Amino acid sequence: MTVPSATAIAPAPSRYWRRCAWLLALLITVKAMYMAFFLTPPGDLPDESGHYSYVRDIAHGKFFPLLGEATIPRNLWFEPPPSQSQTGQEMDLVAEEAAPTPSTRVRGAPRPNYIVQHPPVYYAIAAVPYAISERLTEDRWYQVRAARTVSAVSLGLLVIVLFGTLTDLGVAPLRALPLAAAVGFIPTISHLASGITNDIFLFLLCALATRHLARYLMAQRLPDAYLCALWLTLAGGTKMTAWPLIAGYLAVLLFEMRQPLRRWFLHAGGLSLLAMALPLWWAARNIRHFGNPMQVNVVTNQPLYLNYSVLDYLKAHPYFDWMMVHSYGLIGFAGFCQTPERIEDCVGVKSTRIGNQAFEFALWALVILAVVMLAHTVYHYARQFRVQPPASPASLQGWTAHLLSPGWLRTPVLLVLGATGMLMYVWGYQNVHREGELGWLINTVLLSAAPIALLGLGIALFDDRGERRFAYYGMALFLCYGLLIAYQSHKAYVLISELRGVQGRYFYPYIPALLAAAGLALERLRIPAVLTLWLGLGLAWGEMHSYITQVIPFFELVRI
Amino acid sequence: MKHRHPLIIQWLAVAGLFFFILFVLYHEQIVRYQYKPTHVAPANWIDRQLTGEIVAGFVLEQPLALTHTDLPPRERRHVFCIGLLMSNYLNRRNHGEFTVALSAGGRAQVKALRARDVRDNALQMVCFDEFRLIDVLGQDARLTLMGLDGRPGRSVTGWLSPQPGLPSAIRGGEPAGAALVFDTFVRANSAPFQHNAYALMIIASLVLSLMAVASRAGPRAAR
Repeated sequence: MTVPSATAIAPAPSRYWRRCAWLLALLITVKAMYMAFFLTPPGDLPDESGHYSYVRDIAHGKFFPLLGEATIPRNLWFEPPPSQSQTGQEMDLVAEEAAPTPSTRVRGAPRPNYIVQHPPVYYAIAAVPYAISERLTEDRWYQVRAARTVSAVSLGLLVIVLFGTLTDLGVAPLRALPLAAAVGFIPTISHLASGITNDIFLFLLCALATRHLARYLMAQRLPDAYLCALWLTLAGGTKMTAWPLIAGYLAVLLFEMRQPLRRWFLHAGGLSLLAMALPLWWAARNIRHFGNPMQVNVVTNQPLYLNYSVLDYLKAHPYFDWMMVHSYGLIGFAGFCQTPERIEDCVGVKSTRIGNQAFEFALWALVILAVVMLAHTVYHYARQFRVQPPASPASLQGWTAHLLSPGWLRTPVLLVLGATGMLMYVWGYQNVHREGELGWLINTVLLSAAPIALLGLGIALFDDRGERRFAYYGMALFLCYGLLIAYQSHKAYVLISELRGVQGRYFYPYIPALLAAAGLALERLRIPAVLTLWLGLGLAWGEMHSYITQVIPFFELVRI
Repeated sequence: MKHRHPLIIQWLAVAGLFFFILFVLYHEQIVRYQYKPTHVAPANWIDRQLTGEIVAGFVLEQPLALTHTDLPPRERRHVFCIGLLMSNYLNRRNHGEFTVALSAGGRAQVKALRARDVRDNALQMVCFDEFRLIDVLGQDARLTLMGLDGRPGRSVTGWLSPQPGLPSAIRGGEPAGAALVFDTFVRANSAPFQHNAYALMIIASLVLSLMAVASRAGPRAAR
């Protein structure tokens, strides 16, 4: 096999744009830091107590706490009430310590920490600022905030990485800047970036892997492939939700690798080993301790519903609505349990969902992006019926395009992909549960992933441009993962009769590729840059509006 | 040659403009953080009718029957406030003054308000510094709305509607058939939350300005 000339990576943006991107990223970091220090109540992110406890365990030399043994200590966030307290209220709290009451159970007794089911990379990194703060001060206020800084810095770096990915793909900086910054203006993302959780750090690692995958597909430089594998293994060592992404990206790397046969096998082995190193280590550790490579804390009771399919589930429940609303704005968790005066209210989760004008703006922005991406996809899908394969294929992708050359072999493949995508959309639109006035819009946006991804798969298989194939590999992986998450949510519903796992944050590993695909479509269709500018401005306003009108009053209620 | 300011000056100037606009839009909302409702459920605004213009000689009494609050004990020691639903007749220019008095436990406090400050169909907040929520809770309390020097055609009005568990208002010595529309609040220290809101507003102004200025100057700067 010979190595053909590859697509060139677009030249780096000018110094002016790089400075703007860094400044914007700095502002977004400052915002997340401010929220981490002064706004987000301790414990008010999903399972923040467990994440924080994991960080503390590592900082105190426990490599690594074991599921089933690790606990969340009593009074994690605030100082325990002094034994000789001055105020009557504090006396009451001490009295509660002696007699087991509901509040004592919540505040006093150690709880099992099921968060240690996550691999440890994020926690090991967050333990560094935490350990430093512990040596500098005994004040827990600072220690908590020190651990929170990792997420805040990750969000700023994420903006830079996304901007770099978009400009590498040839998206003009004018469009790339607001698109990259948009992730920093989603309330849920800002909220998560202000706390101790592995989601934003994972988002950053997956964005780095995505950038190097894009660069590799365009320029075929092996260092990019290895860097992609490196970031993938770190992502896999951060959260298991990245494992399907590792499988997908690794498959793309091998499918696209243009090397002579011997070198192909050599690098395929090297890349696979590197990309799967940390997940394999974690799986081996799980096997050693639990006999199950993917040991997690899950409900194990008998199913409450029998013969209840995923389709029944999607028809009957507002899964799509929850997914969209929670992706945009789901704020809060159990911060109210960390205020001594509110301890009696500590039952379950208290959160607020943002469904205001800002959410509607974001939804309409997604509709516009979906329409643009669909137009771009249909145009290039139609081209694939006549795009000639490379004369001398040098990769599995090239061979696939060569074997299924335009004509009676390629046409049925493309028609089946197109028909499946369109049928999925039509079936979904007619049958999936529609919640509220905006239900049809939410369903339109989410279901449009099916035709874009499946028509796009035809582009990924046959197109002659690396950046386009990259964009549609990403879409196809996004669709596969979306179906997997829907299936998992259905499984949880069958077991406990509750909608669980309906969280946009589970999709963060796939968002960088999705955003890159959207940016590419905007660029290639020459959509005026002012549209992306208004999108960025609207999202930035919407986030501030949501915080001032809803989130801060909610936190005030939580914290007193 | 046309003079151009350095980009950083443009950025900060536009950020200042954005901040001014956001401040005008959200300041009132932020100030209201200090008012915490005593009940989760707000007053009923359905089937409402006007109290009539609060002109000179107008008197309306509303017995309060606050027997329960959703606030935790510590917050019941904050200053008691009411939010009266009022109307200024579609933003008409009104004149004169009226008073809102609260009496409970043998004490009373009168607050004078200007008709021109009343906004249309919005809660007019009145705080009684001499009363804490616990002074009113479970007490035989009473609100009195009295016109001082308002003239017909140039005065504001309150609203009446059936309120579950609340006795009818008494207007001019006669039962009005419905209760005054109002919500009860305490005034808490919300300064940290207000500071947070202003801080976010400053950051948002800088972000908005940066994107706007960069996008406008970008193509020129890139050349």
